[in-house]
Amino acid sequence: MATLDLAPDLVSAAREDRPGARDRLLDASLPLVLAWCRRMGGPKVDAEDAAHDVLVIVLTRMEGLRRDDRFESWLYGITRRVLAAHRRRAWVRRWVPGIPPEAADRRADPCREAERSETVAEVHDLLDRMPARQREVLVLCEVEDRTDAEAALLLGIPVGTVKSRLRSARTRFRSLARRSDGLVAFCQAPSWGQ
Amino acid sequence: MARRPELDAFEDGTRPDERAVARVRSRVLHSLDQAELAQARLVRRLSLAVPVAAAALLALLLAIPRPTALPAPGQPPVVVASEADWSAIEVTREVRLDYRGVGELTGTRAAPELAWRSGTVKASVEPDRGIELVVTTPESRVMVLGTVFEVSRSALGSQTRVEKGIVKVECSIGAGRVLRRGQRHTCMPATAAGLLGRARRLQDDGARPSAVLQALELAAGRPDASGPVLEEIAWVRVEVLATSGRRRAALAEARRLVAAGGGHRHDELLDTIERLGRWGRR
Repeated sequence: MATLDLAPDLVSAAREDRPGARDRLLDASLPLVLAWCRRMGGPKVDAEDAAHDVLVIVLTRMEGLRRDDRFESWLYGITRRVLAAHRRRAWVRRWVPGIPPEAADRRADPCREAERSETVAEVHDLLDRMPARQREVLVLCEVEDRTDAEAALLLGIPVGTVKSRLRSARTRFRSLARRSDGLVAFCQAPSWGQ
Repeated sequence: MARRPELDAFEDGTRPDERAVARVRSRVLHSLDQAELAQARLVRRLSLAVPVAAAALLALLLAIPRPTALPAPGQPPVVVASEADWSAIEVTREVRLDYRGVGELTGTRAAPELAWRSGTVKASVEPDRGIELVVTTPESRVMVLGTVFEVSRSALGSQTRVEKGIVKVECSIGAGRVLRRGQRHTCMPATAAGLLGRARRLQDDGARPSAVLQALELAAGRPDASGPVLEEIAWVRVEVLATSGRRRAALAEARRLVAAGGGHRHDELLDTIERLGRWGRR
């Protein structure tokens, strides 16, 4: 599971702009933010662009953080808003003549190459077709293996809400997968959402 | 609940590798540097632009001509006159005059001067603005630094009344005075004729005979007292003495005047002697 492992006073040090603190916070947060952007952004969003935007906002608006112990939740909130903006932009690009659709540069990058694997592309596509609320609980709980309580803390919603959203997300995902040729086996699995 | 292998593959396929992390890291640091540079540039520009803008604004404010009722340098005084009703004039932004009478306005924005001839003028001067208003009459000079006061000119002289603040009054006759809120002071006329007029007015107003006689004494002592004015002063003195019960003194004075020729009041003096003589024989 990709989680934040922060030194106890790193967030407060970064907020107070102590030397080197923001760099260390950037190093600690970047992998998690980039993973979120890849998993929740969908195939039309450039995850690296989105992660860049998230981290620039985070590091320039540290004064807006009210509680240091809620840093991860705050970070996730910013990521969610940035991703929503990127997705809207990607949608607009589809319809505005003369602007090419946003596409990630996939050349000569082992990670990108892996992303091109059929299963990954298929899951990405299915997630992209799900409502954002369902998509995020599915990624947090099923892909990143967070508990319901951890997801609830991150999203700022009750645990019961997470559970119900996760239930709907699984049903929805299964239903979408059933219509997809590539994930027939997934749909037939008896242990998930039946 | 067992996790599906498809999701395991998805997690593996979307896990950021070191090169991607390094790429994003360098882009973020570059953007932060650019943001800092832009901020520093903005601060530098503002630090230059703010004083320049302030100076330009100040120059603009100074260039805007402020309205004034004062005459331009070298021009004749501005006459302010309203005989029947009260009128008002904004001499400058700091000085306002409410008046019923006649006067002439001269001076500068910082030191306006009003030569008041007759009637009443009420001056309001905004305090702490360095405005030194001077109101002069033939018998007084009133100087003020921010206050509200009134100057009335009549036959009795020039009366100054202070509503607010402090004014200094200098009189042609007698000592000057500093007046505070609610105080008033009258400067008596400076000429023999003016003092005679004051005596007449006091007499008409039913003032004490001693006050009338004092004004007559002052009038007779003025350097410009001569001829007809002196004759008139003497005649009024006889009248005041006669009507105030000092008939013997009035009769003696009248006889002395007739013996000296009597002047233009000769006939009236003879009548008075006759009247006072009849009273004496009674």
